[in-house]
Amino acid sequence: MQPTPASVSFDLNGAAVSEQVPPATLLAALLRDRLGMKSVRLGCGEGVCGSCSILVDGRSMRSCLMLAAQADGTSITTVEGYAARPDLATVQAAFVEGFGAQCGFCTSGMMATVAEYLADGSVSDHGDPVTIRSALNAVACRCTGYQQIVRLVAGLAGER
Amino acid sequence: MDAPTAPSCRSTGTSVRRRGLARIVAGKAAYVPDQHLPGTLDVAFARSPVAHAHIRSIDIGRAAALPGVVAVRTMRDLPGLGSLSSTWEVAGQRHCPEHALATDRLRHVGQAFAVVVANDRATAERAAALVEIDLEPLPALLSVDAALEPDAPRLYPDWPDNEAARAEWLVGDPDAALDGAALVVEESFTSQRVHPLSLETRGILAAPDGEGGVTLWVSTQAPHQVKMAVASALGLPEHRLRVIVPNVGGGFGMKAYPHADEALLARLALDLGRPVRWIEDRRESFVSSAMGRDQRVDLRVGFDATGRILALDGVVTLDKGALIGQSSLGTAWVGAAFLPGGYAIPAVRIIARAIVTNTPQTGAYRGYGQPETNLALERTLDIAADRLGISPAEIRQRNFIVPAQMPHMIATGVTLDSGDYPRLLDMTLERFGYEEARARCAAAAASPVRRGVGIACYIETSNMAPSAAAAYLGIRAGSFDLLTIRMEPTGHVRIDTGQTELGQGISITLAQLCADELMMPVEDVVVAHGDTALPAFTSYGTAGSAGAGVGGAAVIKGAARLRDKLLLWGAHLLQLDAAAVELASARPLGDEGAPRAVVRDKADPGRQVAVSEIARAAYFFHSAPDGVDPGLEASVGYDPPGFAISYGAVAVEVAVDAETGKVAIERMTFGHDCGRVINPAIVEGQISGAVAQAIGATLYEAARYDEEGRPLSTSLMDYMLPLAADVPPIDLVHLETPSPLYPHGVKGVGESGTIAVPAAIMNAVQHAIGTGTTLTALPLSAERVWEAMRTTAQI
Ligand code: FES
Ligand code: FES
Repeated sequence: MQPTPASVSFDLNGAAVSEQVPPATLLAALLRDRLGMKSVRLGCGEGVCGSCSILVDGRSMRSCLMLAAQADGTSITTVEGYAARPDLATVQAAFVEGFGAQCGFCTSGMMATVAEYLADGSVSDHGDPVTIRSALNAVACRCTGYQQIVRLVAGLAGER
Repeated sequence: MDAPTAPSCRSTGTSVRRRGLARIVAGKAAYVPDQHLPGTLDVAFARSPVAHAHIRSIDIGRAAALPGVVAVRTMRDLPGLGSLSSTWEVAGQRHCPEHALATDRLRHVGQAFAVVVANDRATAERAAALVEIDLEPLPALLSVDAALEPDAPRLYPDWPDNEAARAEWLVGDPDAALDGAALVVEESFTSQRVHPLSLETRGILAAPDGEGGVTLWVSTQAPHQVKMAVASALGLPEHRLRVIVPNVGGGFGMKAYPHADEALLARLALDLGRPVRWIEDRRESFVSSAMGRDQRVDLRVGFDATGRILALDGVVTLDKGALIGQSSLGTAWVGAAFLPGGYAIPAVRIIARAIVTNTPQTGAYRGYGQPETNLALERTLDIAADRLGISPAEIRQRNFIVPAQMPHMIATGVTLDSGDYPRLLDMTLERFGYEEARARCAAAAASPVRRGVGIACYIETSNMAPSAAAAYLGIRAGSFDLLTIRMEPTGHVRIDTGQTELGQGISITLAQLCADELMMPVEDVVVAHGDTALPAFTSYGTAGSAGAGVGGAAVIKGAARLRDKLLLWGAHLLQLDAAAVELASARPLGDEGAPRAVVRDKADPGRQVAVSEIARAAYFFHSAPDGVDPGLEASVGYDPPGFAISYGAVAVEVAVDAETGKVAIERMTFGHDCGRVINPAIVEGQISGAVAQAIGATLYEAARYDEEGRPLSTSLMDYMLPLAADVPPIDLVHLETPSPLYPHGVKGVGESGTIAVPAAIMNAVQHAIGTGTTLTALPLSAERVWEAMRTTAQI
């Protein structure tokens, strides 16, 4: 017998979404496979690498660890929705200008982490490289060595 | 009259924005898992639970009966599916064909012995678990030492022992020189097995093309090699195959060679008449992709009393795992050939050997054997310096090959093409503040946080030897590039390259070179790549730090050919002789616009025709220059003239917690010379990315197995990747000595960051904890460092 599907409704990149999903469905799978949000990358599928991180109510969350049902009532922003949000579009532009990605597989998660960091009011100096590095610890990047990402985040912090 | 020639708009040497980043940040990059074809079936493998066993029988009945399963196959059900043979093949090498599925024996935990094709991945995995196998266990050899025991069982019964391949170098009389040496340092250095671990795993989508052929989408660095290998394994003519490389989420050598599973997927697609897809999951990546490093270097080096090296005697032993695979002893070979580094060593004996064990195979990983042997020699130099009472910097300076000796063939036959090793070390140490830092460390000798500085120098092979010399290297592939450059009727240029964009930035690099040759803005050049249907070919894949060197030199050659055509057409339109015209970048008089490429009369520069007009004329012409083909296209082949040897010096400062042994890398100065720099930001990205990987491999990354040969790391929870806070700021020091061998002077840089970082860190840690216990093994886990400090304290 199939378990009863759960109904989930949330805001996805500014549009209301309502889906019926089997209760065990992961948010990453719902976003990628059903809603076409290909920017959600799966580097490990078990909550370690951070490449699947998305913004849920402004916080970066690992979508491979969340059940779709947990997203009910939230507001989700994936990279597909960044261009429409000036604060997030700035992050995108900085990654392009600042050589913030190589293969790009971690980039969606990395940008979500950076967006959350820049918006975090509890950080006293967003431009401090040590603080930046510890924030970036949430996402593993195998290509860049983080150098250029740290620099571009410091640049973004300086513009605020 | 024309305005004076505008300063040419050179793009090389500047950090032009990388291609493809806009798609990446928009989430539009498409990797193999993002490719969708209707009706695609998913593939999963049944894998060996044991390290070594004879297969008595395999029963696929229960698996095949599971609803949703479309096919289950063992090697027996795939008659005619051939195997892959090694890309590296040295004299006397033993053979073990690389099959997609085990035939009669299982040789490592995780080896695939059956494949399931189902409507979805979950069903395929469930069915794979239902494939039953009847095994007769065999003793497992889990280390090279076990495999080298005289009475060790053999992995391959038709071999006399477990040595897969060997190579030797002998120059001078090392034994006599060692006998006469004032100091002989003798140690064994080990670099543990690591996982290259691209964040995107391997992935394959294979679809029948409806005409008897197959199209494959593969996450690979080597589409042409995949095409050749698949064609040969399937017995298909190559023009029936097409390999497309979409976005690739990192390769690092792990994706540099073809795999037997690519042939299997192509075969399944043909047999079933539907697209089939396999996306390696993270867990299986620890058994289904080739691991890196895993070498031991047993080294004896003799010095005179002043620290000059008299002789080197070394054995490089590679744990090959269960398969000779594509790279055979390649990483040991390259490690051995580059073991002498940038130092003058008169007498040398080196043996490189690859030993098979019952573990997953090892293969190419960024650095390709060089970090392992660099660790051995650069550690040895520090040990010798300490015993001789000279500084680490001084002992290196006393042994360097100096610019006046360049080009210089070292004992192993490698020719160092150019460079100034002593100067770069000086520059690096000066920027680092070496002397002050050493004094600071001495002051921290007894404190709870010990401090140490370490240096190490490296040379890096790049750009490959000529194809004809590949046989000497034992490579059954050429090293050349074929490419096509076409100027479109609008005057814009398209390069079709066989090089693969992996995020390293090869597209913009090639575009920059072409733009400068043709005096065009770089925006007017696009680079197409990643498709074997393009008129281009790269014979060794995008690997070996050769993309900018070989692929770039091919662009220069193609652009020169195109320029010649432009001159012919331009002269024709100007009604001049071709010898009377030149290509120039000029701005028409009174025009404030950007300079444009023109062909003009050398004697009367005002008489000119814009390249864009020439392009139009070449496609929409009524009269063509004599004997010139219509259109503006050039196809060229470029075979590299020889290795271009990059080099560098690394200085690091570490802090070691005396309580726990934990090592923190506080800062790093990285001096390097990769010849002419095309795009500084890309060079920086290559170095810092490689340095981060080297830090992981030096401090904590390790692929380990239990006493039954089962992998202990099977996820990112137990295989730690370096994160942002683990990597210090890297201060780059640049020196540019153009390679005289290459038209653009470029040497490779992709692997530079991996080579000397382990040795520099180990030298620094040794400096921090004192020399009582000699550090020789990686990784420098807190436990290992703590143990060394404890032993030292007891001495
Ligand atoms: S895929 Fe979600 S954390 Fe790695
Ligand atoms: S850019 Fe490749 S993993 Fe970060």
